[in-house]
Amino acid sequence: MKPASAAEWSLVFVSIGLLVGGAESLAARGDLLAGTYSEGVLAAFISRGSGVRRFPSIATRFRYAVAIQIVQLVCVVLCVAFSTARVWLLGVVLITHLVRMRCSPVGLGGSDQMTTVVLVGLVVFFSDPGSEVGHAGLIFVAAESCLAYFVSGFAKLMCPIWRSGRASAGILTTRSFGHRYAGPFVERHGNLARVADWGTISFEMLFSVGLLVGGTPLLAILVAGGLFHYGVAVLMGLNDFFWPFVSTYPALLYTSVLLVGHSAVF
Amino acid sequence: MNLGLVARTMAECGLAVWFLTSVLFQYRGGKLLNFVKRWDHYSLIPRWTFFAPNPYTHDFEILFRNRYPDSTMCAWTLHRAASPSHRNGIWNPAKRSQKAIIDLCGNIMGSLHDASKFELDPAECLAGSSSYQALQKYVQGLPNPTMATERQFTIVLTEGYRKPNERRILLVSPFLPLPQ
Repeated sequence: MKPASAAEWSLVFVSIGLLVGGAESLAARGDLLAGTYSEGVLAAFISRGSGVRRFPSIATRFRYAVAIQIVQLVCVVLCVAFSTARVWLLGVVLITHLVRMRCSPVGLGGSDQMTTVVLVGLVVFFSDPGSEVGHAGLIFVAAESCLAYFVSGFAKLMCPIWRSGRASAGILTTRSFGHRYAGPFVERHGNLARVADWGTISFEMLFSVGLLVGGTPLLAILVAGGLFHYGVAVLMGLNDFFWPFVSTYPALLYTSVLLVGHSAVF
Repeated sequence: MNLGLVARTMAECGLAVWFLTSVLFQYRGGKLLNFVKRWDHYSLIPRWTFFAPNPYTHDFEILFRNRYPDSTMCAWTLHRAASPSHRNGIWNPAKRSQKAIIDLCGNIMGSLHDASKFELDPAECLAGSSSYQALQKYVQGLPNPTMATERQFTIVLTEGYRKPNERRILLVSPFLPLPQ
């Protein structure tokens, strides 16, 4: 896969994630007003002695939070639609993303951090697409992606509850991250629960191997990754992980070509 | 001096340092990690240990009740930030509020655990907990259509879909004034 194509696909995928996430934030404006982003909640968190008091004075006001969100959505659309000034638009998207993370410190997750990684990688790439540093942006995204999967798998392997096959059933039977039917079903079928736990551990730990092998095995691992994240979205309601993690896959394909010298389909 | 070359070198070194820092900080522990994380206001250093070492196998729930000017109280009401839906895989606006409540409750329980471990006054620990203050504000900000003047909340631990009617009370707040 060529670096420009990889960056374009990454941009499209991460943009879809930002558009969905941004629209969700605007749709949840009642919640924003009621609690999580409200002035009092933010003030309570910001007063932890961080010393950074400029952003709260802006974003503790609901209307600014909405304005920041809308600016981000407009810039996302513009930078996908037009290649002119793309790096600057991406820069604005990255800054608004970081401001939102700074101003709403509760409720953040790994998907937000992976979005930051991808946006930084893309800003670096589009700052000088033909140069080594541009390619370094994509390699950085691929490296963080591999690290994320490997660490996630390894951390689970170290946990007795994951090794015993009780973790997936335990998570899926919660109301917060579970599923009314799938949770109790997995819990009733111990072998299925063990397959789910060990399947997750194995997939996450072997994910990086695909990068070194390249070709069809890498493609198969990436398809499995997409299905894994889709399953997590449907069963656990964590739809915000799908697009940021899938947006690292083009960078993985590009980096694999660099490492092993051939590509599966591109 | 070639400024372009300097900028490119700085960018490459920056990415390399960021990645190496990410590798080093994947596991908990150590004063250095705590120091660096304290200054990581933009969550730039990720921890990719999703649902490990302690997967989330219980639910925190928030219940609240209102007190009126004549001192009467309503029954406890369960607050749910999100309801299960078949659309959640694609569209799930409530997930951040839900995750926020989980994070806040987890932090509050951590504060209470520390209070117990170091034989501190739990009330003082809670008073100094930004998560507790945040949850207070959240509950105070929930709709108040009945014009109650005060609200009390409780955090309970449940077994989710396994035992939906079993609840263990973890904390009961004092009555908090409601904005009129």
